[in-house]
Amino acid sequence: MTPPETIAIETRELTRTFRRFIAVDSVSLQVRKGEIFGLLGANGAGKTTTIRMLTGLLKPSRGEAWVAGIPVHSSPEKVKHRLGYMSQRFSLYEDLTVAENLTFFGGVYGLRRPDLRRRKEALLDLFDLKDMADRITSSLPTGHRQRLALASALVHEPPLLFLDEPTGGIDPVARRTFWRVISDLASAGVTVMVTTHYMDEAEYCHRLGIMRDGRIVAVGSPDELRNTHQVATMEEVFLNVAGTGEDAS
Amino acid sequence: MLKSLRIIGHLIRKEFIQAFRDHQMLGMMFIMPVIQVLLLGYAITVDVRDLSLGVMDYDRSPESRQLVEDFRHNETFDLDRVMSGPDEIRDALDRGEVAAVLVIPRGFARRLGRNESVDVQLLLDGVDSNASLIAFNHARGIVESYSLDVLRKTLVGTPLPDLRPRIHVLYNPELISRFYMIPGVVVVLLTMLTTLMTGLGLVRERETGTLEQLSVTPIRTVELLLGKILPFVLIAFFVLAIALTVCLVWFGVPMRGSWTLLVLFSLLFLLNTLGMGLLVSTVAHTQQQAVFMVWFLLIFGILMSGFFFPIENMPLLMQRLTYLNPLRYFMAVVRELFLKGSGMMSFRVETMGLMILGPVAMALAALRFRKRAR
Ligand SMILES: Nc1ncnc2c1ncn2[C@@H]1O[C@H](COP(=O)(O)OP(=O)(O)O)[C@@H](O)[C@H]1O
Ligand SMILES: [Mg+2]
Repeated sequence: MTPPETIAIETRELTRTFRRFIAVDSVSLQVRKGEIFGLLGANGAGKTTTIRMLTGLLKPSRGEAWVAGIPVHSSPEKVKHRLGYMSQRFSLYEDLTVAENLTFFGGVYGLRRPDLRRRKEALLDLFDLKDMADRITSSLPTGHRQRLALASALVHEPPLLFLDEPTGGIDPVARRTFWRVISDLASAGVTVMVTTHYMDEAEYCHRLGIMRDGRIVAVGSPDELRNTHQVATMEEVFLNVAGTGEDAS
Repeated sequence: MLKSLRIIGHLIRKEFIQAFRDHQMLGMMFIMPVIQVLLLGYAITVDVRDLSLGVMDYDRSPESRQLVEDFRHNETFDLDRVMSGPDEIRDALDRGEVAAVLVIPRGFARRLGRNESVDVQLLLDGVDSNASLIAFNHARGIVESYSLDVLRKTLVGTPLPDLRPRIHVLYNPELISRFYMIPGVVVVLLTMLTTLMTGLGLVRERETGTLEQLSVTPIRTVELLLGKILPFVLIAFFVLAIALTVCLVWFGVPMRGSWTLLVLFSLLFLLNTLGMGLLVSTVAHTQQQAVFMVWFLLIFGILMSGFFFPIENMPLLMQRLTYLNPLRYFMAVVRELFLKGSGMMSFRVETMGLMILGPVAMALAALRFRKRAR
């Protein structure tokens, strides 16, 4: 059954196994439109596998996933023009320039020339990449690469954004800027699902799902989670439910 | 439809930007064909000439010297060494210093004078069986015409019947093997380049993660595959033009057939090699695997194409297998187009073969390539 209009992402008993190993185990979630939903969990908890199923990259073994009202478990291709995706590993063309990457991905999403030019300008502006436009991507510093990756994921103005550890390896200042853009997008109505293993980043999320061994072990806003567990910090929440303290790494 | 074309256009553009940005790759694409055609054109020749010949003349008579002269004047042999005993013969053959030794026995002239039969011996180094077979035939010819002369001298005054073959070689009258081999070299070159480039294409994207990024876009499999092969069709034609120029201008290989046919068959053939390359790139997980697979396919493809060894000489089972080899067809077409100038009608089998195998390879690649979720 199609979820209501206000729900951007809904999973029902979503499960993925690799041979006998259960990577994602009966995950049921709801993410509202315009919400920033964080998936928190140690390495190997199943965050990437969940996102790959939601973006149509991986077929669920069992269960359902509805994204933007489209049943991704049965028709994964239909949802693709609605979503932007930033993989946990940098995956743009290293031998193209910044501008060429944007043009290419915009083109592949079917944008026409005038739209393409407009979007390119806007994104270069937004991410402060104007003077880097003609640099070969492989020569960019990590922070800039991350911004370019996000810009590419946004080139077709998708209503949904999936970010898999978008801030891995960049400095705190760059991370703050990055999150400001994410918050602005959410205010503009874009639904964002993001994975992270930085606890301080959990605060930027409207709601969180904590994953452990493929299962969602806790869901709620940062405040709700702290209150339920009667603790002062997210680290402690995490320690309680996921069994490990510090970074998930 | 229009949108598809636009998307494919973007893919092609990207592929060209990448190709032209990689200077090494560029060199490989445009300079290698010239060097390869030149080098291989000189190296690959199956003409047998100037075989080094040793002579052991035990008779030392005017008659024996005449026979030696006859060998000396033949282009196949190059009289390198006059020998002085059986040990030297053995040694020289063992060390590969001579490829053949002519041994004329003592009493050669005397026995001829008495109308007795005499044996002369030819020792051949059979390691290169092809060359020694050709040497053998030439030597027999020389000895037979010598013996005919002896016969004529003995029977002066008696009218003799004379049967002489009038051989007229068509298409390549001077039997220059280069004219036959060089168009083949061009075929091999084209095959290597296109199979390898497409074979690596998708695999590289999978390795670097860009294929995953492409997979979350609404791009369709057909669009992606077309975007991957069309740039190589253009590049292939460019390389073909360079290689053919070398072949025509430098080596003076005659082109007697229709250029239109050559272009059409090249297109048909590219469908095959690009399909094969794509198929490889859907099977291989790493670029190394892809290179290895392409190399494996190419060795088979080239050996079983009739490039070096005529297909008719292969065992029947092998001959049948060559029908699955697109190179076999294109090799035949190119050689016949160049040397004979044959028309469309003589290439019915080849057309069929290429028209079936190419689309089959493409279809298999498209089926195996799942942009879709797994
Ligand atoms: N393609 C795959 N084949 C086999 N196992 C996999 C595959 N992808 C992920 N896994 C396994 O599934 C588990 C969850 O992985 P992942 O979703 O990447 O975790 P996370 O992103 O939370 O670090 C890990 O144990 C991982 O080894
Ligand atoms: Mg992960």
